[in-house]
Amino acid sequence: MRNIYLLLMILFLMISCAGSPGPVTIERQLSFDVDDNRCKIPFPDRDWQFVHSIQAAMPGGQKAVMIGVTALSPKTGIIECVMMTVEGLVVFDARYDGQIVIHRALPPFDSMTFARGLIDDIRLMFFPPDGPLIASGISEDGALICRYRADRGMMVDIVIHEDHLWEIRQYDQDSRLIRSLKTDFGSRGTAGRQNPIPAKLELTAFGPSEYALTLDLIEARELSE
Amino acid sequence: MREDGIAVNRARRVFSVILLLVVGCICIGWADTWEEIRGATGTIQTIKADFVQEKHLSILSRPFISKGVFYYQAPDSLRWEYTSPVRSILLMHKGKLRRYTETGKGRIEDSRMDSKGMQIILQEIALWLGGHFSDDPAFAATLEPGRKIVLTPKEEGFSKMIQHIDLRLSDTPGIIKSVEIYEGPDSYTRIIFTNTEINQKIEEVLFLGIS
Repeated sequence: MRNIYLLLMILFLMISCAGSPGPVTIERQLSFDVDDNRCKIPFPDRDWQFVHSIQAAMPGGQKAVMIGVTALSPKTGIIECVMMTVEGLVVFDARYDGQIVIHRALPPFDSMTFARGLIDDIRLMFFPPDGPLIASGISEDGALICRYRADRGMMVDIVIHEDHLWEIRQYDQDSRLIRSLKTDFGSRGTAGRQNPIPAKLELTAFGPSEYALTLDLIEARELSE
Repeated sequence: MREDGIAVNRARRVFSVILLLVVGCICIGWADTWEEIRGATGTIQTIKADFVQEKHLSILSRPFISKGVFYYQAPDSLRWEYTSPVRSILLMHKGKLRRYTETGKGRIEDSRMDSKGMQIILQEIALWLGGHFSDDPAFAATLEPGRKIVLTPKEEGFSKMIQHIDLRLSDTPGIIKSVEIYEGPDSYTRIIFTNTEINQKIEEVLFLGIS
């Protein structure tokens, strides 16, 4: 009986450790100068307002669809975001300008933990990492990799594939994958732009409270136009 | 994220109540007193209408527009269907409430429509369809000039979600022109009804599934 418990514990540990892949291997090093913009292609360079339908997949197989409105200013770093039901009932409304100000949050969206997590996810999707570029190069499958040091010992890989789609991968201080963002231009994206807007964003959060968000673009409006 | 699901469910239940309120109000005849409204409500058996929903937010440079159609059959069958930009259907029939939303990966059903919430909704619709606005435990109703009814939540918890609801009646008895749901000074939803048909036959199958 004791052996069975031991086996189960080893199996559990093996599964836990195998769940989070590490950073992408850089096969061929490239050195970028500071002004090289290839690593910044995923990020809007002007003020934008996006409306997405957001499909959330939660633990236990539960799913929900919401509408998300996000206004971004890359120059100032200001983010405004609203989440509402398909019927238009606002469940969360906040602004980030270095600090988070919550205008409206219906329970249980009314925690600062939720607000921080949401702002962190938006920043990961739409803003380049704050930290320095620490490595760059080409992966085995030909993708361009830009690796940044981020806050709290974390690391972020910007992976730009040959078909111009990109991934953003965030790792914790132990180099375990904690966030993965994948993109798809679909038929409604703006692939021809210098900083194209994907039609679909798929964000997966790994770890003890896993979730997945699929954002389908409904409307993109350049606010400075 | 598990909490998000609870919030979504709660918000949807609140909005389901509002939708039913809207449907209840669309039945009412043009009237100046609650007595006349009560008298006009008894003859409505079915309603079908197209709607355009404008979401106004300070963050939006112009309103976010959704379109759809709804069907109602007395006493408690409802199909509230969004056709664009997100396809979503709320179905209520014989005590069951279901919601389906179209996504890029197929149609998903929201299975968290609980029966307790449903009972509350049915109690509300019974009051509204009877024209008993002044007896409604959830909303205080006032009749204002210009064929306008203002509904204000009585419960503090509810008023944190909805400040007030304004209903504007059409010149034609039985037809409502628009509903405005105010969440705050800069956030409101306007639903404008067109092509309203009253007491036309509606096939029951529309309330059973997502055909």
